[in-house]
Amino acid sequence: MDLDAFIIIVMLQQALLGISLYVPLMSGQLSLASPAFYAIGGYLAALVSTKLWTSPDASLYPWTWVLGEMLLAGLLCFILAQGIGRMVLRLRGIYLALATLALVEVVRVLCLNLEWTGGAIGIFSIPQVFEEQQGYLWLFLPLFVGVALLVRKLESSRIGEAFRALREDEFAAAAMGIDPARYKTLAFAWGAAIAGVTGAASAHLMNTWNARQGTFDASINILAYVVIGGPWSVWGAALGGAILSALPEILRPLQDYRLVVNGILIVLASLYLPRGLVPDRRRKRPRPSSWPALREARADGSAEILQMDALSVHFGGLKAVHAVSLGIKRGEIFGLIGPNGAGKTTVFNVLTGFVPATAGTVRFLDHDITHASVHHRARWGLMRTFQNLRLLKQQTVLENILSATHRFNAEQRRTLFPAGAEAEAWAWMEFTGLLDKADRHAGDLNYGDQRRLEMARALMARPDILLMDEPVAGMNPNEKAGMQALIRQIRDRFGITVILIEHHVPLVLGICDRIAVLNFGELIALGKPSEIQNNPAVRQAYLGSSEDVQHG
Amino acid sequence: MGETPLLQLNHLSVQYGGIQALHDVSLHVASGEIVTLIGANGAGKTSCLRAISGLIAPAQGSMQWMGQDLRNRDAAQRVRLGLAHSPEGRMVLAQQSVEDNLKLGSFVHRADKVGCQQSLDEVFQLFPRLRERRAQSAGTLSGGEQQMLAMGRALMARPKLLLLDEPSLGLAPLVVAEIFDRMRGMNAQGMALLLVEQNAQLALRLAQRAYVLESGRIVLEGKAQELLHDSRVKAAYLGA
Amino acid sequence: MLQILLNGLSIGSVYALFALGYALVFSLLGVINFAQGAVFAVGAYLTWSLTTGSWGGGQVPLWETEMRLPFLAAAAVSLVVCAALSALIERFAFEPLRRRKAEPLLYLVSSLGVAIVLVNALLLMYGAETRNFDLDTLSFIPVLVEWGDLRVRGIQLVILVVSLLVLAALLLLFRFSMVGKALRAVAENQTTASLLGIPVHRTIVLTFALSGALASLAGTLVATGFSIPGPHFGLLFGLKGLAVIVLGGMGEISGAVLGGLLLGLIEAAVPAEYSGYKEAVAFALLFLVLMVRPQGLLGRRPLEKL
Repeated sequence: MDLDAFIIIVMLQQALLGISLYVPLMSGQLSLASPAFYAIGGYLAALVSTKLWTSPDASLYPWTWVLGEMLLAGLLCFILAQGIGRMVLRLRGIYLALATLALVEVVRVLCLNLEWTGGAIGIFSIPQVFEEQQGYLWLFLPLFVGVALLVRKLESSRIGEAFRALREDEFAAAAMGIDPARYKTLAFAWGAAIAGVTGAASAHLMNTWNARQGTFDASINILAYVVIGGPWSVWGAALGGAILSALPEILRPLQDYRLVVNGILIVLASLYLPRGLVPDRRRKRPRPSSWPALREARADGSAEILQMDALSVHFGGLKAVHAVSLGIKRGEIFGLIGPNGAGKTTVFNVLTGFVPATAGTVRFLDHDITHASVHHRARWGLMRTFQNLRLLKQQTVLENILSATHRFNAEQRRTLFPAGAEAEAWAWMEFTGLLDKADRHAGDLNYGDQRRLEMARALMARPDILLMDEPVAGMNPNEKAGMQALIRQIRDRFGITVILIEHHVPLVLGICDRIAVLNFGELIALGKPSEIQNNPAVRQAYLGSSEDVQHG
Repeated sequence: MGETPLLQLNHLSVQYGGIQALHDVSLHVASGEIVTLIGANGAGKTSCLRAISGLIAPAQGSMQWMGQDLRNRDAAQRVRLGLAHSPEGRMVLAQQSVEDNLKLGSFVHRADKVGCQQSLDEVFQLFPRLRERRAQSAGTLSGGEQQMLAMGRALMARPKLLLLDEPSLGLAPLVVAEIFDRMRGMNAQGMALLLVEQNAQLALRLAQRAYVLESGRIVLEGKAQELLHDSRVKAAYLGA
Repeated sequence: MLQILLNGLSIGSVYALFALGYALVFSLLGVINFAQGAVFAVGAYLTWSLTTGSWGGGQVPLWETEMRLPFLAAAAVSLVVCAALSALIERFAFEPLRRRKAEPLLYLVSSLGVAIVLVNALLLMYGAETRNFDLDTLSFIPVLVEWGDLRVRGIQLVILVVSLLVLAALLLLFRFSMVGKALRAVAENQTTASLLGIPVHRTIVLTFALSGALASLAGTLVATGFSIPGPHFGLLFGLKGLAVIVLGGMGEISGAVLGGLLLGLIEAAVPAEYSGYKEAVAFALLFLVLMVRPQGLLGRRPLEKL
């Protein structure tokens, strides 16, 4: 047997497993389940080829059958993973890693003990597809190239964009109209399918298939592939798999010490190659010479667009929001003020679907949305910014703004952005004063710019209502004045209804048409700025009487 | 300057995240004094406080504490010297009780049980609200109460100088007034304060002296009362 | 029934000891120290060699010495060495990552690298055969304790008592002392902790040392109570330890104890005819708990502030 060809086959095989871990990771899921699906795919191929196929004379297994098995294994794992993916959906980070690790061990022990998987011995005499082992290169090479190219394509697609948004911040992604459950399950299932297909192909390579094929050591090794290769692209995952699996062979002259050296190299790589062998590349895009003006719109300002009816949110015994009824008119700038802990942000959370209502209803555009999910509300035109800023910090300003287009389907995008979404994004950067920062990572911006970016991102989605949570917190007087002017334009030029929470009282009094005051979760006042300013209950609960403080 | 100031910064430069956050900054705080540092976002105010408390190492320049070089002392040792820092965003230990937060504030004096109890009583006297909530976990406090806890916790170390970063951030006007009132009280007991504040108006009214930071450099310094009426300061920071 | 209970509690208390090391490091840094299982194996082999005077036996030729320590002395030496080893692991595999605030993933991989190094070094030295303790060194422990119908191996009682005492002492320390509060402060926010005057770095190193000592103690106890079935056993035991802390609530110190005891009991209750599935119990349980109560039995649900 030609040893070198065999090493290359193993490198390709492990590169594929690296990719199978990378795909769920694209969407932020650290799943270590690959060996389980790899094992399942292998068992499927082993069973089909030993039980169903009977060779009268030919000793070689037909390649059409192999392809069929691979397809079937991919499909089976995809379907299985859809189910499991739904179950483990809400687990994040290390918890998901451990759940999937547990899955690997459970599958291994099952295969070890079940009768039809052959127990500890496994399934042996799996028919060969090629005369010589090096022939499997012609199975693994096209498989690897095909999978890698497909995943590469996925990376640059809109689905890949949604995956990356989820990886950075699931809440922000949902608030932009991306359905986390759908995309995360998809990523998980694709990863499983890749592992399953690889397993099916490997069963023939190995000749015998048993429970030792899918162990937690393999999970951890695959994780090392991706981390050391670079968890940012398919090439990183593949390269990591290829190099680390070849390492023990390369180190063979060291004989018994090779595994120790292997471990040392893994430690060194994680310490000194923090970004991996294939680092994340910054996606710079040139500034176009011009872009079309932003499409303007007016709001008529009479009909109610959003209604809260006896809305309550209780956390255990705490009544964060209690029996609040409010109607917001289209085209209004509406202020929500009150002491810290009065329930203002909770109102935003329940309006946007981040927190379920305990009682009462929310109606938006004459639809009851009380039980709708976050991403559905975003798609219908309810957008928000966050008090604690939820940007995709590792992505550029431009990419952040573009993430808001997930609210629309392809056809809507064509009609809404005739010059393309990117041109529109540049126009919004101009509007918010971020033009010079298009290629900067959102996490590197200063606080004021991050607030403006959150606003630009929400505006890109052309919401009917924009909920702004403390838009000028931490800004100096000049910046505050600038932001105040922008908020006014959002309504005047684009017809967007604005609800804002803000502690900077002069701003609230200055631009709001109406103001509601919350205290201990209850509505204590509602009216025009002048009425609120002189309302004794409001002065007592919130404003105080010192003029200095108000003008701070 | 006749006597040695409590804290003296000499030509301090700080790099932070690859950016030059502070440039050749020299300032001092005398004992019993309130000094404020004002400036725009990203001017380097927070970096300045973090350098003083030892959270980030300066690239150049030196710092003296009562005439003694601070160079080789880490954050924990500086607390022992009498330098406490109440950080931006309050950073209370959300999962621990109010009382445990406060007790941890006197970690450096933990051997002195009687003294710690006395400090605790004093803090509760200054912030009666914290006494009411002593058993509650700090994360359930309102923003204003968390700010009081952060200040109270810093007081537990019995500092000679308290660094306060944005105590009014995100607080309702009434609560801001209360917090500033407490600062006055603490100062009256002889504690020096170095205050970083977005609300320049309030800060300048409280402080005796002030420095104005712009892009990491000190561009103005003087009596707080004078800066309050300085036309440049008015235009840039007071929104006049 | 009582027999099962005792067996379960005995192995369960060792799980708890071992998992406590994981939980301490996780609560402090929010990362998992994968090398914990390898340190466990080092501890077991070290105690074995020190009491029997035999070193090597794998690729390294067997080397018999006359130096045989009494069991308690050997266990103590192993404890100290493993504490130092664990502190060294912190210094070389964790601290550089900590300094640049690396992603949790990298800690996982670097500590995994350490585990690979240690386990394979043990393999080179001792080979993969099972090692049994010299019963003479344990002669001060009665072989069998009979109590009416109940027959318990003396060593099992020793394991149970020692583990429970150590666990109780540690739980009291963490719950009521300033050390415990300081530890929780470092766990919650290192910057804040250092501003309070808590020596953060020293706290972390000492915690690693403690977790190393716990691993060694668990290793010694398991090795004397059962055997050392090869260096890879450390990794498998390490994985079970993970199941334990998930069960109890990651980073919850009392959760690790509860999880350990529970797992021991449930494993002991698996009927003999299904013993093939016994190894999967921990992981099926882990999966189930994560589905139903992701924060574990005693864990708090993390609050996401919007």
